Amino acid sequence: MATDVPETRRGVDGRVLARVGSLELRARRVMEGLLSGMHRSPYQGASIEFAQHRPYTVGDDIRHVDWKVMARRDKVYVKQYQVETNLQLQIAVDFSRSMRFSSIKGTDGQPWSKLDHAMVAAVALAYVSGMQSDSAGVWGLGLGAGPVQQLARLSAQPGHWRQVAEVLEATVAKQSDVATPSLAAGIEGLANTLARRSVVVILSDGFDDLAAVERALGHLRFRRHDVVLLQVMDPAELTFPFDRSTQFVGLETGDKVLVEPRDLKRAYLEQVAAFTGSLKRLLRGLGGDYSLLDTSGAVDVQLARLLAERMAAADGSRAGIGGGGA
Amino acid sequence: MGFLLPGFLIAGAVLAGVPLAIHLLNRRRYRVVDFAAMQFLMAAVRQNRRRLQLREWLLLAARIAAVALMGFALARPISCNSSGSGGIGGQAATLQVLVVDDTYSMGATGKNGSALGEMKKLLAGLIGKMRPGVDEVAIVRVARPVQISLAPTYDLQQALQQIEAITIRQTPGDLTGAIALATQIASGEKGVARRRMYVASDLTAGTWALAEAGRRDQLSQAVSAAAAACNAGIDIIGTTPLRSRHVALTELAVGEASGSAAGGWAGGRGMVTTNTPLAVEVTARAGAAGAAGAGGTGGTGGLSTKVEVDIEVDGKPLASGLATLKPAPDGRLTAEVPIGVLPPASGGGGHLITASLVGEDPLALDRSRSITVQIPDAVRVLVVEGDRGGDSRPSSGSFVSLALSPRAATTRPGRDPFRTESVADIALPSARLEEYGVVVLADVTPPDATTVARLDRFVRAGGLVVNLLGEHLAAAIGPAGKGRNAILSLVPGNVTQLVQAAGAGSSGDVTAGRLIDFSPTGNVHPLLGAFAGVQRTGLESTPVFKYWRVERTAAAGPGIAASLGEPVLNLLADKDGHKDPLLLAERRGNGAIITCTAPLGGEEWTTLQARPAFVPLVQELVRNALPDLSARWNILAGESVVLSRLERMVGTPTLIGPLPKTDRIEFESGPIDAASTQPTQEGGSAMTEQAGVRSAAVPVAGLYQLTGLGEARTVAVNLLAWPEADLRALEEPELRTLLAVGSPSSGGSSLRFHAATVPEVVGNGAATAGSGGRDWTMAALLFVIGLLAMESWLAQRPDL
Repeated sequence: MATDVPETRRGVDGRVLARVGSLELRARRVMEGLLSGMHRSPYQGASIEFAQHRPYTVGDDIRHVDWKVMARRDKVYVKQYQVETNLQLQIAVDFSRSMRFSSIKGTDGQPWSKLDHAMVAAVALAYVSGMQSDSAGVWGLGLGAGPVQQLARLSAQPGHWRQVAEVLEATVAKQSDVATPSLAAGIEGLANTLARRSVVVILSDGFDDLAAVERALGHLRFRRHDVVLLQVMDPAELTFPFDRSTQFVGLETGDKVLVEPRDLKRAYLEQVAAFTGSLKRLLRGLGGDYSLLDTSGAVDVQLARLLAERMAAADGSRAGIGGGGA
Repeated sequence: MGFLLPGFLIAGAVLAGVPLAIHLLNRRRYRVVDFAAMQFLMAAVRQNRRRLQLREWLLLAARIAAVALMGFALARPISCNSSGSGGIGGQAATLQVLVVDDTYSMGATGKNGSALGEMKKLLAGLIGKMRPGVDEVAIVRVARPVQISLAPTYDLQQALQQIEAITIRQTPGDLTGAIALATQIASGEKGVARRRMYVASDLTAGTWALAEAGRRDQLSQAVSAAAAACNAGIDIIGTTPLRSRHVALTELAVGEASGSAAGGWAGGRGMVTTNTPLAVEVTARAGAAGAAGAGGTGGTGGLSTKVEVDIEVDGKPLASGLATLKPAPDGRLTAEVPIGVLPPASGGGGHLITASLVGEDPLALDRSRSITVQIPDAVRVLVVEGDRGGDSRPSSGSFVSLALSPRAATTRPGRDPFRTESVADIALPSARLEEYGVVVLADVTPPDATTVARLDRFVRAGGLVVNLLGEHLAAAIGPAGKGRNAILSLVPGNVTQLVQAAGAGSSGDVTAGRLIDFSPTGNVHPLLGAFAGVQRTGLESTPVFKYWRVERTAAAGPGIAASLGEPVLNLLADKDGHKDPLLLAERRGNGAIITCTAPLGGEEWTTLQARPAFVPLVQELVRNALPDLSARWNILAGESVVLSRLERMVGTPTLIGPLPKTDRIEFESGPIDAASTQPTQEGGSAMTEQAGVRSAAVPVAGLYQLTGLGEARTVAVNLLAWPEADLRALEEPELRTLLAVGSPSSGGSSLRFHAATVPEVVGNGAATAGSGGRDWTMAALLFVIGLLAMESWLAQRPDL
């Protein structure tokens, strides 16, 4: 199967897509949708999968009365069914200049930046979404044209991921070095743009003012979107492996600082840990998901783990619902 | 604080800059990395800026301090505890300058062994009393060249080693220079509270009682300056005085034995040949026993004047026996030891003659001397005649030839020291001058410039020209006195006119001519020393009828010697007051020119040739004027062997010795001195044969072999024995008088005398007793280790 899957120019590994495609992408929350699918919907009714029983109330359709239960217990219950609905997956990729940082090389020997990692993850998610007949759209954050820019419309076509890959590549090719809007502004723009409840997956390093990001994510959550922040980090950012005198030049601002990295490593790592911890707590507080994508790791493993965690969470949620019929 | 090895201190100070340089270099060597997570990095920098700067400076300071302290530790720091330099122990840091007499008189042996050995013990005892870390020692040696044997140091062990290593030197002493150098050291040493000078010597008259008043004054002034510079005073430490007599052989000469010369006048030390009965003249000086005053300087001091002398010629004993020393007015004792004619096998050429005084003596070093002499079979004389004569008329050089070799015409040929050959002046240009020792120009026709130049080179190379001016010189001057021939460049003065002498005789007779101004009891010229005191020689009564007037002016023109000596013989002044020379002598290069303003062959000029003094006059002139070319093979310790440029061109000279040793003494090329250049006809200057090579100073007496000149030569190096050999010991009163310092009661307290005793180092009211200074080496090293540990700890913990 891996050989049947084409790769993106930037080295999207077909095996990644195959591995991720074997999993079910499930949203933890029940989404509205018109299409049948694998996702639970708050709208019980026209479906074949029994969800639970509940006592009959006036107005209920008597077609849903479970006559067998009434005969056994002498009480009227109606059957509820789990309605399968489709999921709208909005993938937001951060194109800010900080995402271009790379300290490692890909399988082709070329530098493997955080943006490369994020784009592969985005295509993989689009692919998985298409495989489940879920629609997926792609947005660009931090592009020069505005805080947020729609790169691919929602589509549930199985081949939609190819379009996603192409548009991402085209976007990277067109990207200029002009100053880019902040991440928070992009998330704000996305919150203002999306009309229907969606699962919003943000692929970004999250390097922005934490308070601003918190406000933007809160706005997104207020619009009842399911927010998943996949923070993409380079291993050099996570471990700070520099050992001799180095002048660091900021990719975003051009700031320069000459330091002895060994002297600052501990303090730096503490700063990074504090930031990621804050993000994690922020997402948890908002009911969203947070996951750290280390660009030195395999994208498939990272996405598989993410989806597995979400499935487990979804199963737990369903058990919590009652575990019995509708 | 003082340092035993201050060189390390300097090295540490220099190397302390290395960590700083590395630090600055590293700040310029960094890599540039584009980085995304700058917000975290900047936050970390902001939070840790002060800590990082502090850590960086601490590391740098630790590294610099470690290197500097390492140099400090290796320099062996010792606290001086100087009150003058802020010490903590109350002891004054003192510079102790030792002036050590290492002249050869210190080799004299008495009951206590040699004076040098005794002095070493005294000085070792002195250094043993010094306080480590408090007393700084410097050592200056007296023998020339005066040298600093040990620069100021706190390393007393090194000072002891230097004292032990001292050996006597055979060059003359320079006590004045040594004290002046020690004063300079004392004045230049900063950081010490006290300065003290010790002069350790045998206190002999030879070293201290300088013969010339001027030099004594200089010594006195040097001691005064030293007393001013040394606030802790001057200590003069004397070794045990010798109580035995010392006779030194101070000079040695070889000459014709007395009474053997033709003519019967007293013989001299003039030229000798293998046919000459020879005598060795030894000159001795006796330092009387005991302290000064017991005997006089020189003289025999009332002791026996008989000495036993051994004579060796070319290493073979030739004569031995007792000689009677005759005291001279200047204190010298001379004795003539006849050795007769050299054995036939010896032949002509260079010979080495050694004389040794036999017998017990406290100092053996100056009891023997050697001399190399050139003793030819006979000196060849070329008589160039301008007038060859005829029939009964003698040639212009005949009388001179006869005077030089009077026996040639007799039945005993071969005994004359001169072998004359006569040629006409026309043959002069083709004559091989280098084969002759003397060239007599007897009224020659003025030769061409080339021939004159050859004559000039002949003289400069060591030849003797006797120039008898005659009527032919008129052609050189010209009819109106215009135009000068090159021959005039051989005359040491300006030839102005031909004088017809008249009316200058003592009798006032016009026809008597002018008389020679000669008095045997007057100031006789050295060239005619044999005539001193000899009456009835006829010189003073010889008339001179005609002569060329030579005005001796320094501006006589090119080619005239810059230094003109007094004429050998003058004529009595004429009625106008002219006192013209008859005989002139000029040293030129290695040779000489004798000019006679009147020819000796024509009776119309003078009747000198008929006088009894004529033969001895000519012989004495030539003998004494012939340069002693052996002189440069006889030098004194401390002098150099000088070779001419031509000799240098023969090969690479090498001086080896003192035999049988094979130490090599190198030669350095280049002009020897300013006097070695002579003006040329063109008004410039050119190197002459004098400009050549000079060996390094020969420090030790003995015989040396000079090779590389085609034939090996022996160079005799002797001691300048006098006054060093004067071993009379001076005592305190006499020394105080000599040094012009009073007694302690009269304010001369800065000078203290110690007779064979070691003075106390501590005391004299300036210092307090106590243990030595503290050695801070280990403490400094421990501190270095601590610094290195701190540096390592800091470097390994970047988070600190």
